[in-house]
Amino acid sequence: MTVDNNVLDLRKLRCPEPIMLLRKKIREIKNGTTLLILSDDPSTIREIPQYCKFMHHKLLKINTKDTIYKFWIQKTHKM
Amino acid sequence: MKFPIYLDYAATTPVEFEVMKEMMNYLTLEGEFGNPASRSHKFGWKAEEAVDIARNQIAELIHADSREIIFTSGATESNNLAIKGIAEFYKKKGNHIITCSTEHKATLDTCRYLENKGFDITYLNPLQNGTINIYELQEKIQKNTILVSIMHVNNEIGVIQDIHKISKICQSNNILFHVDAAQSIGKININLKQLKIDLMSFSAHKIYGPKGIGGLYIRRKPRVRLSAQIHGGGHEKGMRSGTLPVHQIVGMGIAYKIAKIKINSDFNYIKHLRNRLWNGIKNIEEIHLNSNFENTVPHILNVSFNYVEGESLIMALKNLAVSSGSACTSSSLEASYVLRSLGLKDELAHSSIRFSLGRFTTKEEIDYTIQLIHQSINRLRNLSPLWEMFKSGVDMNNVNWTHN
Repeated sequence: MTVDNNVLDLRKLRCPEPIMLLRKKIREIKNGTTLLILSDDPSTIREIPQYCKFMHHKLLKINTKDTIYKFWIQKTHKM
Repeated sequence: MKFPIYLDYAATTPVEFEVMKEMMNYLTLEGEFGNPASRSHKFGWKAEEAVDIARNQIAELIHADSREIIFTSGATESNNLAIKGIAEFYKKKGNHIITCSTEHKATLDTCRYLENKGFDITYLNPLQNGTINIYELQEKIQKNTILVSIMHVNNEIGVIQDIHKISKICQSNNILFHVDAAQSIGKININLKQLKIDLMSFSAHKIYGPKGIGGLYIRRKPRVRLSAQIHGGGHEKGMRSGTLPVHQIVGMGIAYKIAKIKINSDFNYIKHLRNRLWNGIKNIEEIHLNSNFENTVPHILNVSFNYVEGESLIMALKNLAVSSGSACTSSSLEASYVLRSLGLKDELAHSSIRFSLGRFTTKEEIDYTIQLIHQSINRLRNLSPLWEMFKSGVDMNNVNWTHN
């Protein structure tokens, strides 16, 4: 999976900050861009998929097996 | 020209049309009316997105991180949260707070409240130009000083405090610094990346946003902690509970976005109008300028007309919406505590008028104002026995007034 040089590192941040920074980043990137998100906040396991569902972005892949969670999101909705 | 002419922009401002238009999208079933704390449906997530956009628009104006912005009901609440919140959280470290005697009542009354709770408050007296004496501030710092709270721009005379110098003093003494920026935000440039300010209060309705919404900047690095004053739900990182008024927040965001674009053009335009107004009235006999032009924002022009009673003048200027003293205290007939702190005699303080100009003030309105002031002052002085005595050479300072 190609990531267009877009990695959002949210490690060491706790709720509500990860979603705040994700929202900002999504607004800044172009439609169709894929974003890799790194997080270690357990709340993001629930929050990031919900964000994608309700804000109409594609959640391409999740890896929450490791201590650092990885989420691949594609911006598909015009903000 | 529409009457009365509004020259009280320091009290409040009309909202920009774009602000009103955007706010309307967050109120009805057709819009995004959801509660931003609702996580289980689209309405909540969309509302939270709107709040997040506004938070970023506000942060951009003052060069802060959006995570450092907490929404409140206005600058009064922000001042309360900052001062009481710091006092409570750091009370083990110390109980001494320094402020200035010309601060807004939101700060002074909060400090008085804390005095009753056992805190020690030092009220600095300003210099004659309204600024605080930096050396006096340094002298008053004690081992147990936890906070300095100083307003950036005074709401009555428009004087700008040197918050850069004050912040340096606070930083070198390991004291937190709170700034009430209600009258400066969006009017003069503020860069919180360059200024070492720990807390900053601001409002929306002073810069063409809606009433009832404001914010508090709380520095993230190094982290500033405070005790919440409103509890119930843990909104705003637990620092200010209560459902967020999305429409007001959106309005505030748009107002701040516009302010960022117009800050310099507004400043120059209003300065031009202020100079026009002053040049048109400065030759009136016994007029006193209470705002030193070198160190003030152009939006506020405070003048006193000797031998004219302030309330009579306000009545005579009924075609102008102006203020005598700050909006919060103009209902009382006590002379302005700010002007008295600057050493003005009661008579001059009583005859003071604050003209505050804004983005929508026009040249025609200023010219009409000049003409009306001249007419009104002449008429009122012709009716005044004090003016007659003064004109006939009586030394008014040495008159022995007796009461039968």
